[in-house]
Amino acid sequence: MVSLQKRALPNGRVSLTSLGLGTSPLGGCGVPVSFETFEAVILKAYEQGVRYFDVAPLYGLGKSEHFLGHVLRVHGLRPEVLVSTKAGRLLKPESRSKRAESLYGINWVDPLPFVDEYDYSYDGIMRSFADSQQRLGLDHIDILFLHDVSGVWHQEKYPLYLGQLRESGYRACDELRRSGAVKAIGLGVNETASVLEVAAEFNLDCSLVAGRYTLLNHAPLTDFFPEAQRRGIGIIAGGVYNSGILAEGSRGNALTRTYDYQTASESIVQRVKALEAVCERHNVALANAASQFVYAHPAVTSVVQGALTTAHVEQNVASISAPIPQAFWMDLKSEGLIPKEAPLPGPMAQSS
Amino acid sequence: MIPLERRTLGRTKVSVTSAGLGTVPLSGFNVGVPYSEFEAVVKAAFDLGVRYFDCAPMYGLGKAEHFLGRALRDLRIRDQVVVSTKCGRVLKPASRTPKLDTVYGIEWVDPYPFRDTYDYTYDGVMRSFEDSQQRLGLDYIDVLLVHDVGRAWHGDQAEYYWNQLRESGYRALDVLKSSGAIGAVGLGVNETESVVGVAREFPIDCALIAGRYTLLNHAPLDGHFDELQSRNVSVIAGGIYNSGILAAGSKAVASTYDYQQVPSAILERVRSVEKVCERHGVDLPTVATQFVQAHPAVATVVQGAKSTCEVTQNVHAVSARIPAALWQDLRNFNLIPSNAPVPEDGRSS
Repeated sequence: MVSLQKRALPNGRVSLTSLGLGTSPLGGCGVPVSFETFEAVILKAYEQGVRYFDVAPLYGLGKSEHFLGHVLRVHGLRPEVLVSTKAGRLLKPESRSKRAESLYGINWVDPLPFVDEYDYSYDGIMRSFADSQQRLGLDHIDILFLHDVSGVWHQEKYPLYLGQLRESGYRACDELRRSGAVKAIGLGVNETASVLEVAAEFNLDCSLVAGRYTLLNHAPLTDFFPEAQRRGIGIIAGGVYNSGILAEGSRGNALTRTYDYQTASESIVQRVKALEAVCERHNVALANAASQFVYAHPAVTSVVQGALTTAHVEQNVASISAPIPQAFWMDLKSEGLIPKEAPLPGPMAQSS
Repeated sequence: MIPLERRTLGRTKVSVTSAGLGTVPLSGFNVGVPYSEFEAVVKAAFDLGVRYFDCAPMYGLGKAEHFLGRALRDLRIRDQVVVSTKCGRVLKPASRTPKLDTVYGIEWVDPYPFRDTYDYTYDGVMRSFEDSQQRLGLDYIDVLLVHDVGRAWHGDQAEYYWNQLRESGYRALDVLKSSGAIGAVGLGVNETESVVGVAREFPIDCALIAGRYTLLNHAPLDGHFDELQSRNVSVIAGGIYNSGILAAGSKAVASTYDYQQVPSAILERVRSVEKVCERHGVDLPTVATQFVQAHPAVATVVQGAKSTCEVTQNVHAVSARIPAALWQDLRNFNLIPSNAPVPEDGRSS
């Protein structure tokens, strides 16, 4: 069996494998996912050495939590793995209505018959956490992320929700952490600004940040990562393929080789082509370079990737663990494709 | 498939089939049951016409609700069936406690990692109901039954918990019923006394009563069933085999009567009933089932099953023909009281 490298969160209370499995696609995000598929993907990830699983009430509106808990229990895996879920959305039974499908950006296929309501207050966070336990059917959860505490996400409502956190939500997080109910608290967001904003007010242990540091986006190097390291916030990096293009490459289907969920611009496609040329020279898969580039940064504790099939899981594991020659990284730097100051995997840094 | 007879619960619009499926045996009651078997039993019951399914937070400490909800969703039959669950116990995650099972009378096999705490207050009832929705993954629940009210279960603590209902729990039931969150409200107990007691204080629609009215126990005929009928409280009859003897018969080695060894007087009566059954070519469980069903206070008979085979037997027992002469013989031999209703046309459904 593959043994993936592990890193501890700066608070020292949990160690995550280099690769974690995200269960958003398995919640039925646009495509139907059967329990059998869900189970097969989780078991494959476990077999491949993944010991960290991320879920959220939002994914399948409760379904991913139901399924993940069931798989971990039935196969006796719970003691072996770490589980994170999210808080900030309460799932309310929505009687006999199909409203859920049209109201949200995400078309969950066959979700549970719930709708989600934002609530970042003390009561909302406590209830979200307790409801997750009931849905997961698990007595403990390792990491709790405040979901979408983000100006990018909430727009003009952002101050309202930040206000809920300040007034009482932080206190809930503090109680959950101090009582040992969770071992780490963070944000689960698609931006870096709100992480720093919240971190200035509340002591975060970690944050799941999607798509902000990648082979194509190096912005966090200068301000975000140094600040996160200074504050002891371990970054769990999601979206390392910028939603598609770094997994599929420049020759992929134009519909799916997206950059941050949009059609990739010509300048992005050109940069990807340049990356691919170096990859070809060193016989390195682009996706592998994308994953290991992110994991090379010492601010990053783990890379989380979704998967819809067992083949995806195998690709993900390969991407974080397949050897990449040091000369490849040197070429990326010398060609100006990644910044000089970007940390690189050491020669021995690949997983053993 | 012949559709099973339907009756409504009390004065509500909730209509249940004459046979319902109970989920205790599917929740790890001495024997572990994987989800695939759970779903197969639910499907078999549905295919045989059963449209009523009962579960409770306590069964498998959350497992029955998780499995039942998932089975109804997977089979896409939620909108065609009536679901009841219970309240009065709130499940709390029991962090890493290795051996929970011994704390309780029932040793659930592979239960969920929860502990149950009694709470019949307003908040307790509301929380139990909402937690059930989260575990079932269903947006509505048809029937909510207050679990284990009364002395039979709580002994000396009975008044204490009953007072929680009086002080605020009834109000929660009223809010849930009048808001339409549930279609019918009742009790789920092993006695008739608490049902009558509660019905005098709060307008319940139904009560799941286990093992109190059977071919061997006719006590409710002495007034309790009459009173429930006059108060429009429908009885959901469970435990109609008195925990085993009326299903397995007198010759079975391991038969029990209300979970105890079978007293010799009971064994004698069962033998006498069996002789009548043999004479008319009818099996004992069928007679036991239709005897209970014949009482107009009874809306449905709920029976557990842990295999598709048992479901088939259960449905057979509610629908097989019984000659009218059999009931006459049981009366003539004083095996059932003369005031016990029997199926009029010799067949209850």
